[in-house]
Amino acid sequence: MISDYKHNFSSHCETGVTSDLLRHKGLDISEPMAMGIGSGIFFSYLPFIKMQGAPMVGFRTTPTKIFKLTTQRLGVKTTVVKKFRDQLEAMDLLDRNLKNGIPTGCQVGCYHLTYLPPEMHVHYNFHNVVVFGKEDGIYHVAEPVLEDTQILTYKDLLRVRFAKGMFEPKGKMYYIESVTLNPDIKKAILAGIKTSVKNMLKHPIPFVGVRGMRMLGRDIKKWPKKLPANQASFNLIQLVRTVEEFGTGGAAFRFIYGSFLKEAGEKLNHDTLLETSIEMGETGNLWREFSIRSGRFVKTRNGSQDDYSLLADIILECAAKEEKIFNKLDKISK
Amino acid sequence: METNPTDSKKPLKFKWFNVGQYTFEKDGRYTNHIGFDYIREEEALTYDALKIVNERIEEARQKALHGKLSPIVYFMEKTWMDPMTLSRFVGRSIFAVKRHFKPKNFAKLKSDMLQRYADAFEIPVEELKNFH
Repeated sequence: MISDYKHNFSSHCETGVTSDLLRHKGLDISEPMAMGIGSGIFFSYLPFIKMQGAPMVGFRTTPTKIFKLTTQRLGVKTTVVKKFRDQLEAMDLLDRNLKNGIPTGCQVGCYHLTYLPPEMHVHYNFHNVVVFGKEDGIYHVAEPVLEDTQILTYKDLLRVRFAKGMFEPKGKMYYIESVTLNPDIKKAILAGIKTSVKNMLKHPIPFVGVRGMRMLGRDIKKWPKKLPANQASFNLIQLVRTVEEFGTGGAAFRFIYGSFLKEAGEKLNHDTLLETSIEMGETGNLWREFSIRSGRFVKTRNGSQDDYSLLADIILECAAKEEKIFNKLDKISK
Repeated sequence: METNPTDSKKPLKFKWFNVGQYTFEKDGRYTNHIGFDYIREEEALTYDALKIVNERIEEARQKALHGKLSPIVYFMEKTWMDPMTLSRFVGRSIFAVKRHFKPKNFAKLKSDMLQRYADAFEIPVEELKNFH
């Protein structure tokens, strides 16, 4: 049985899933709105975790955190099943949901997702999809970062839901039970901003938030001396790909977040929010400048005037600008 | 494996799906559209990343052939893993996995452990034992 789930194309997997699931229940929350209320903006630089030799730079919070926070703040009742011991039990529960016509979000790994192009088959287990129907043993899957809905067999879906590697999904799934149709949107927005400010400015761990960005900037300056040339440029390539290509909506979520600030400012008629939305857009443009210049630098090593320390300075400038923005937001969210 | 991204026989063909992008315009508007913004599509950095990974795979293959490293390193690079991911696949610590990178320690591995590595790489055990 296939439910009448309407699939929308989105920039980021989890905000797309959250906003689509809420829209299915009749609550119109756009993708940037889900990003803001769920406090999706984040930064973490983890040099001790290496993905194919490159240090991990994360621009997202842990999986299903956006979904949890957004629904909690809008007063929506949900169920999140964290993990399953038994693989068959996980599939049975999903089948039961689909029989009742409940579209269900699942955390999956990317390596064995058959419909993705081969370049995207990486061991990355933070991806989210919505399963919304089953017909003759074939599952219908709404993939947020693709325009059309896709299909997966039972075996393939089981495999991606129990993908191995770092941060295993362990069959995690989540769905909405009931919604309240007129939530207090102002309270939700301010609560979302408050958590974001805490994550970016006051996080106790030093490599998270603005402090993490400064640490990354300092480390990039050391790369050409410390590492072989091949490894240094691979690190830079992976960083730029994380910023622009892996479904972040461009410039590491800064544009989506700015879009949220603008939407929230118009909804609440708030001047500071509108002002910060423009500043956030300018920061996004700065991140984009970093990607363009790094791309040129990697491709034409000799023809470009840049070097690692000049590129690192852009990130340090971003950190300074974002600190200013979140200090402004800190005052209004109290 | 059918969908191996690093199959060196075929020329690399960039088949990128469209990515959702938000943009900030000069007049303060945000627009949402599909497609790359920061670089021309055929110039995307995925090409360069693949090139470097392919170089690494070839280097690991040569080292494994000359007995300087164990074949585990070659298959690890080929399946886009790193020691941390591989350690999760086979259920041993990172240090144990890194120990197995040395040919001396690899030769001592028992069939049970070899089977676990073969399962992680999705290859028959014989391919791991008789690497050529």
